Amino acid sequence: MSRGAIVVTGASTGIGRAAVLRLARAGHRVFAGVRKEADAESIRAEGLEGLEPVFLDVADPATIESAAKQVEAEVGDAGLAGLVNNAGITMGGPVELVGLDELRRVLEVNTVGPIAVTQAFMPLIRKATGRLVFTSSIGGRVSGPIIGPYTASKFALEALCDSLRVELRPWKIHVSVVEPGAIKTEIFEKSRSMKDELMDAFGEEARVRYGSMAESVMDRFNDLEKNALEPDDVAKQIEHALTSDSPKTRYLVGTDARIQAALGWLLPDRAFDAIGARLFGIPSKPPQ
Amino acid sequence: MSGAVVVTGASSGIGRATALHLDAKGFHVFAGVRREPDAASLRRDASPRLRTLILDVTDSASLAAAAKEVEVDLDGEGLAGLVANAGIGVGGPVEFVPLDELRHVLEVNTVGMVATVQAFAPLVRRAGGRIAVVGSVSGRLSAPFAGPYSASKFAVEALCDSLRVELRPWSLHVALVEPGDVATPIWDKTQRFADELMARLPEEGKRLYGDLIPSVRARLAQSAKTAASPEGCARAVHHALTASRPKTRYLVGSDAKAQAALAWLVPDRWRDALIARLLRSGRGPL
Repeated sequence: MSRGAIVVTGASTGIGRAAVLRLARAGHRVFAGVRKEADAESIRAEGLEGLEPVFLDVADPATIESAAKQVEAEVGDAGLAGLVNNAGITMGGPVELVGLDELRRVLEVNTVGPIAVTQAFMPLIRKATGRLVFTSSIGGRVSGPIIGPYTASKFALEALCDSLRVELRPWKIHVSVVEPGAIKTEIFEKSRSMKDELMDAFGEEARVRYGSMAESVMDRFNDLEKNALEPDDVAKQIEHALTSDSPKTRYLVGTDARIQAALGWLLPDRAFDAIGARLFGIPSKPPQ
Repeated sequence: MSGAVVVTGASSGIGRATALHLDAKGFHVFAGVRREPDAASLRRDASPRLRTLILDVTDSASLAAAAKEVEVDLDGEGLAGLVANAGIGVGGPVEFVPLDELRHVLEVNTVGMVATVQAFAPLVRRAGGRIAVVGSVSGRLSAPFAGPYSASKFAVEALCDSLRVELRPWSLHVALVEPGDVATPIWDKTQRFADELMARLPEEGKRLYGDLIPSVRARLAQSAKTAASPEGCARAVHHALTASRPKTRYLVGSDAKAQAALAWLVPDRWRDALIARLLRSGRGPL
């Protein structure tokens, strides 16, 4: 294998899946992190040389440790050319009512998880002066109604990446963050039922206060999905971050992501809020 | 002004200054602390109006009990303000920070903030009150060795942005106070924690990051000297709770404004180079 070995977490579907296929086709040895045997089997069924599944659940320290050992045994002193921290979940709900355990869960998977994986693989990254890529989201830069728990986890991840990037400067180990907008991945399909779950979980009070808000936010996400990018559009940027001579620190992917980032950057809060309220159909008066 | 307000994390620093400031302004202050001696000290320094609450934002039962106590005391009235201030500092290189320390700072600063809002929201709604959350400029700029703390405060920024829009239909204002270095015990605690963390770093961690430890420590010591007093934050909170046009964000201190500008205007690579340089000289933002 002429090109370096890379570990990608959350490789069963969506962006992670597209990334492992793209990287394997480009000649990398790729370890595809999956949580289920069926997903491991479907990775093997791709029949790509150098592509193999590895069991890795970012919320389960034992699997992180065993995955790191397994990869170390395979690559030895050659180390890792890259680690793509891609695994993540969505989580929504109004801040006033979101279950604290749900909030903890999204912080664990989306924020602590990538750091746990990074810590486990850093010795191999250091051996090859490899690169670190984190799949964040435009939700790591701007937030909005009903998506607070998710954006909190991604904002936090961006902070850790900013620190890590400077901390690893002395070793020229690059850290990049990929920030996609709406992408056609299963994460969206999962969030489609979020509205119903939300209302079931929080009961009548939530239904009255936030029902129509949650509904219009979900409708808006479904609209966005119609124009959403393919996972491979994001995978392309991940490949750039891993292989380019001049990797970027941040990759905004998708027109919607660029627009949101620009608005978040330029507009005062009140103006941004007004646009968000309009876009997401937030009423100006309390619901009856 | 005579409304009732709850202030969490009132034992020291910004919380204490805010509780006393609002008390002096005539508010009926419920000051949340975790330990009785801190409560006694607050009562000593405040008007007889000030009430103390024993509460820990990481303990749902204690938050619920405190909310109940306030509700009973208010006897049908609501809260004019909630100041979610309680927080801790945790630092260390991302590569080696113990994951439980990272979880802990997220639990106290992020989940604890949400738990506080949830516990007191019914009382805030009752009076059409306001919410002021004490974040940090570290919620906008994340410096080396400050990753865990910044992560928790970045998350707070996201949650406040959501909450602010979610509460628009009821015209309930949400403001975020973002101090820079403030002379609060959080610095002493952070310094102590930094010492402990460094002592606990694995040999590999000491070898890799040891060179930078003295400058991080020098930086912490210096910031303790140049830090602003917590009264600026107290004034910002007061404005957020009372002004006819409250702001969404209050950057407090010239260092906070400079760091926010750095985060807003300067491209990542330039900022990284600047921060790395400042850090080596022991002056970097942290």
